[in-house]
Amino acid sequence: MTREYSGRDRVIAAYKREYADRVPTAPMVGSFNAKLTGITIKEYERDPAKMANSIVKFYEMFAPDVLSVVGDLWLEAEAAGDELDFPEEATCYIKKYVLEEKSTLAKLNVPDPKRDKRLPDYLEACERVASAVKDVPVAAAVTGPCTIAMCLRSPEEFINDTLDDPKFVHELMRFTTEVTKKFCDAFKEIGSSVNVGDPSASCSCISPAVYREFVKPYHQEIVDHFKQVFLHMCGYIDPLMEELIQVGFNAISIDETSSLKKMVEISQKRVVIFGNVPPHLLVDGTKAEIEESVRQCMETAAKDSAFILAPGCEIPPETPLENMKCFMEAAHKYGSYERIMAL
Amino acid sequence: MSILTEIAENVRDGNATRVKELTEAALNEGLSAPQILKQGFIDTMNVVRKQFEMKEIYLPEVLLVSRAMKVGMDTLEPALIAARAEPVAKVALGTVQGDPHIIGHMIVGIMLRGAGFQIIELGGNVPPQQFINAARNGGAQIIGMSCLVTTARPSVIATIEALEAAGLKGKVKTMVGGAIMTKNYADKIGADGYAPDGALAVEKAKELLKLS
Repeated sequence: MTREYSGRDRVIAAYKREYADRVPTAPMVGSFNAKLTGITIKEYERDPAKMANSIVKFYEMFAPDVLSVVGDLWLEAEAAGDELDFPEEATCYIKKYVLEEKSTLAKLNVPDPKRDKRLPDYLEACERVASAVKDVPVAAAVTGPCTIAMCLRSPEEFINDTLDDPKFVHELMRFTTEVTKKFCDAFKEIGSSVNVGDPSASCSCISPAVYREFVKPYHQEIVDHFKQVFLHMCGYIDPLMEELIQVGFNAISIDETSSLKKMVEISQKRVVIFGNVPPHLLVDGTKAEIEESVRQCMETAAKDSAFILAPGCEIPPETPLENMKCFMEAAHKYGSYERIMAL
Repeated sequence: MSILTEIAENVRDGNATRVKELTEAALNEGLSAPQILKQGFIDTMNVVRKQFEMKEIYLPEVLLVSRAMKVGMDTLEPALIAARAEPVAKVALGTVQGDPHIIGHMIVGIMLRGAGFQIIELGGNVPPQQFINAARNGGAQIIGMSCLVTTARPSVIATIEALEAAGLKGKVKTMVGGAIMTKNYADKIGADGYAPDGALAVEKAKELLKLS
């Protein structure tokens, strides 16, 4: 194999169920990048130029095949009315849920991605990264409707509502689906793919029955509208795997809690699978543990393509640089064409 | 059907109003509060906990059951106090400083209450001293620390160190849990116990306190 492959080539090969020189690697990182350019996490989350610079630095240092533009999960909820707190050196979090009273829903507006709170900043960061880096796909992510709903209402009240007031839950999901769709539209306009992260829809938070009744129709709507949609769902999703494939997501990224083996067996190459090295291994695992986890993922899922090696969820900001390096090197070694052909 | 079986079924089905009515009726019939607690609630929650551990039921079902359980146990409380019935043990639960996520440890609280423990609920973003106070003044025999974000892990260490500084390490047990917690890390920082979910937290708590 003599030709030079770019990250983009490798990803396209995986989606085409073909091969490149190795399995592509998509290390999902967010505020980890801040330390690469010496900025604080708060600066990373609030300044699009600084965020973009640090993401480009990640690309230069670690050569991923997919470059993730990840901020926090509360961009949309903040724009819709939640109050957030921004510690200097820790991820921001929700201080006040805007839907403490259900009646407030009627007063909320679908945020305008070009105008409201930090949404335009996030779009700007993506555009900056995409204009600086051409060789690999730049992957932003929009928060999915179930997660936005829980972020507006609080997880406990949302689950109580599914028991006590299903009508309200559907009204809320209707609203948050519009929020997700409008933000995805803005990404399509700048030439990005449609990537949705909806961790609150996993069975770590809700049940398969709640997913079917209150989330699936809205996921269906998003997929029917955008056609090619990548889904990341942290948490336990084994009971939902078949259904998520049937909804029509064309790529599904799974967490360490879910079974990669089961996903591969159920998928039968119907979707491209991303996953699922445990992120905590990169924080405090040994090099041997990181390598072994990568090797196992490749062995389980890389045969016959349609697989992209990724962590189960965002690699935390405290990850030492040498562990990130070890992860990438292990991915290149165990994902090589020769090794995959021998599986 | 005995009234206790009826209570158990309605707890399982999450019928909070019916559980309250039946609990009051059982007390009026002269059944002892500890007996109602055991056969109406604790035995039911043992089954629910096992089902949750085996992933036969999920968080929404657990929350539904817990609401009915709470109403029933609140109704029983005056009678339990009058009967001088002691809880199995007291556990202080909170999410550590720098981390506001509470739903994880709330599930642990539901499971522990369902097994007869009394919970001191501390909420989220809890400074180390507040955990120590719950032990020293509140009588908690276990401090349960939830931690969902790696940036808050230093707070877990700080709480364990504060416990040591207060002369309580070993006397008061520490347990940790949460999405980014692992047994390895828990052992490394000197926590007495770790559990991956609310159901197994009950078994661990009983083991630490040498209860059956």
